[in-house]
Amino acid sequence: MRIEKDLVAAAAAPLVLGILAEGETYGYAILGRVAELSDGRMTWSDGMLYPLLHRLERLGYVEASWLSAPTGRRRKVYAITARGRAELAERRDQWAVVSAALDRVLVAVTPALPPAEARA
Amino acid sequence: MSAAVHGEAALPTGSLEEQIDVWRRYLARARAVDAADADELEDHLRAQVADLTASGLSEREAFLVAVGRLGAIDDVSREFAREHSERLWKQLVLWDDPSSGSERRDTRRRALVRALVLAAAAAFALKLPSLLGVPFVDGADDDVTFYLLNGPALVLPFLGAYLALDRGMGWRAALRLLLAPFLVLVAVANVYPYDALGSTAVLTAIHLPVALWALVGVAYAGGDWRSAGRRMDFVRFTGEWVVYYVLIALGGGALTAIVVAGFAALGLDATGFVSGWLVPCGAAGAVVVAAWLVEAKQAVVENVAPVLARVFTPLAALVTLALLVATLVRWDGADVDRGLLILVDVLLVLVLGLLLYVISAREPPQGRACSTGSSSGSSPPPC
Repeated sequence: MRIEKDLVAAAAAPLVLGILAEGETYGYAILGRVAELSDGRMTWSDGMLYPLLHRLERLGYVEASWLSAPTGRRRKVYAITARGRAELAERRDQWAVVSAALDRVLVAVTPALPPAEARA
Repeated sequence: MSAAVHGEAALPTGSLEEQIDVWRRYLARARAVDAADADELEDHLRAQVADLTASGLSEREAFLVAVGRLGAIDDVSREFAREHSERLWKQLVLWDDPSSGSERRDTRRRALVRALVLAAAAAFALKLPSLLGVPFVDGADDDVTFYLLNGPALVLPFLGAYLALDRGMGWRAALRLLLAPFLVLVAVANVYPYDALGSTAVLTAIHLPVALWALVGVAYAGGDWRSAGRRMDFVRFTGEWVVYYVLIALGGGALTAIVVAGFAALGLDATGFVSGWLVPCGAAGAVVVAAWLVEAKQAVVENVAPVLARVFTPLAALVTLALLVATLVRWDGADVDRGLLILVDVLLVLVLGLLLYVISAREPPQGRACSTGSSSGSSPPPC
């Protein structure tokens, strides 16, 4: 199952903020964590992560700093800020509302929907 | 933009370092991606390649997959442009952006200094005859004819020099392909015994700039005028140059009006200075400055000119048609006014320019935005 593009786009910001709330890290590792969390089913072009990170940085949700990687090259590392945590909490509450509403309607209509095998 | 922009489409079969180097160069063309962003993306690419080679892929395979997963450079840079739109504006004039590479900054500054020096030289060249006794303002018919014929020939060499220097054209090629044809054209145009302001003189004055502009095209192509791609680039350059020139002229016109009105309010008459110096020097200098702008902002505002061309193509067609109908209605044998013929001639040059421009501005048909073609999923923005 692949997740629809718009849904991935909507989930990307809270997902990245959540991963950064686990601890500071860099772009490539964030994508690895996304794949891990979604069992590889949420994917987007890797390059798209960076404009998103830069947007979060501009909004003050994350802070970036350059560290030197083991290879001797420099690596840009991101950490969540207090504002970022507040934003994440806000997104979590919004997501809970959306998810609860979807759950309620989907539970009610599930008997009327084709099972997974039938759709394949 | 060519297919090569897609990074993975035109990779050499070199070592990993060479491949990354080439990829960085493609990336550097995207103006919304600065050097720090490129470092970040390169770090990502290397981490991905390292992981993939650890899982058994060859370096070359790993590199191809990693580049594919990163997404087409066009798409990524568009996404960067959306987030960093201010950079696109900065890059128009601000070459001191500390985050951009020092090499690129130096190139930028050199181009600007070169453009300003050559613009000043073009202005001086246009004024030189008047210092030698051919009056620019209130001249006799002979003098007007001289400027009609030679105005472009005095200014365009500096535009050609700017482009030839920018392309690093060799002296020998420049002599053979630019200077020699230029001298022949100008000599032929000046040797003919014209009546002052006669039709032949006007006709030559209309066509000489077109021929000289073709030479500018040779300079633009760095001498490689046989390359169809470079010729098409030059057509695009021409269209954008016209747009910039007109914009500069509009700004200059407003400024000139303010100067004249301001000095008039103070009881000083500035019209002599304005028509004798400010306007001709500004018009000559703007020829080179507009070219510099086109080159400096490449790929940033390139959408304006095609839109204008598309708007004016049907209008130009209508005007041509109207003139044609009017000519046929008024037709009385061979005695058609030569002025009208010359006018139609100018119009044809215009239509040809518009047509070429619209064709050149059309996107290449093969879907340029949807080329990732690797294991990764597609992504926003949609193709």
